Amino acid sequence: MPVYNHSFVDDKNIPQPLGILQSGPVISIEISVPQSLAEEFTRSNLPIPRPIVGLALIDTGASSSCVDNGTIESLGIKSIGIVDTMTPAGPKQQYRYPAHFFFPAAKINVDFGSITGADLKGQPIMALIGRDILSNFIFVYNGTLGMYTIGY
Amino acid sequence: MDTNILQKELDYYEKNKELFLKNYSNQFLLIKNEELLGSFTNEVDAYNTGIKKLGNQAFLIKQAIQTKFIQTNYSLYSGLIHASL
Repeated sequence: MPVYNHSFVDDKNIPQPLGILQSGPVISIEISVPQSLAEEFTRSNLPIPRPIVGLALIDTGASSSCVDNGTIESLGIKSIGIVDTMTPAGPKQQYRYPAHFFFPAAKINVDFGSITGADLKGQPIMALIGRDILSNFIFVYNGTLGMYTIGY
Repeated sequence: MDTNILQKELDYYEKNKELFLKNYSNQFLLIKNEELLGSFTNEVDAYNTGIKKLGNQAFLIKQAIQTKFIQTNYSLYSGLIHASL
């Protein structure tokens, strides 16, 4: 099983538990259009949007992975469904979109049937990695050493 | 989400839900306007077919299941992502 370790360390390679406490278990991510949509753009003589690079937060409290609505819109991806979400203000509906995730550090590709659009504007992250992806992984959060591990 | 661009498709699904559950149980249905365009064993195949038939426009992919899925993202919807003291 391939394993990816992400450590928060200082410039002398000393563990910095405060790093993971402050930022959470974040991972670099590239979000792009699904392959079939890229082919459709080509057929229509339209440029294929470049992948959008940023950070994703691994969130065991999220049942489904989410991507910022602005990111999805800039990729030109159209909605394929609706999901009911539970918020402190009561139930709310959000759109679902297809998308492709690539985690360059871990070299993991995930082609999604659909993920949920969410308002992450103003956050340092552009996606949440929820339990739909984590259902395929082993995830270990080591707060004392300031690191996390993904096995997949 | 202000206006639901898939409302017509969702209404069509709800109207025919019992029939879909009987004939396409657990399948992913591809719906545009008030027409069922196909049934698939997974969401990706449904999307790929939708793109080929309809191009890049909104369409509904709905799994024919009785249970309603409610998504929970506790920290996001509580406004607690990257909260600090």
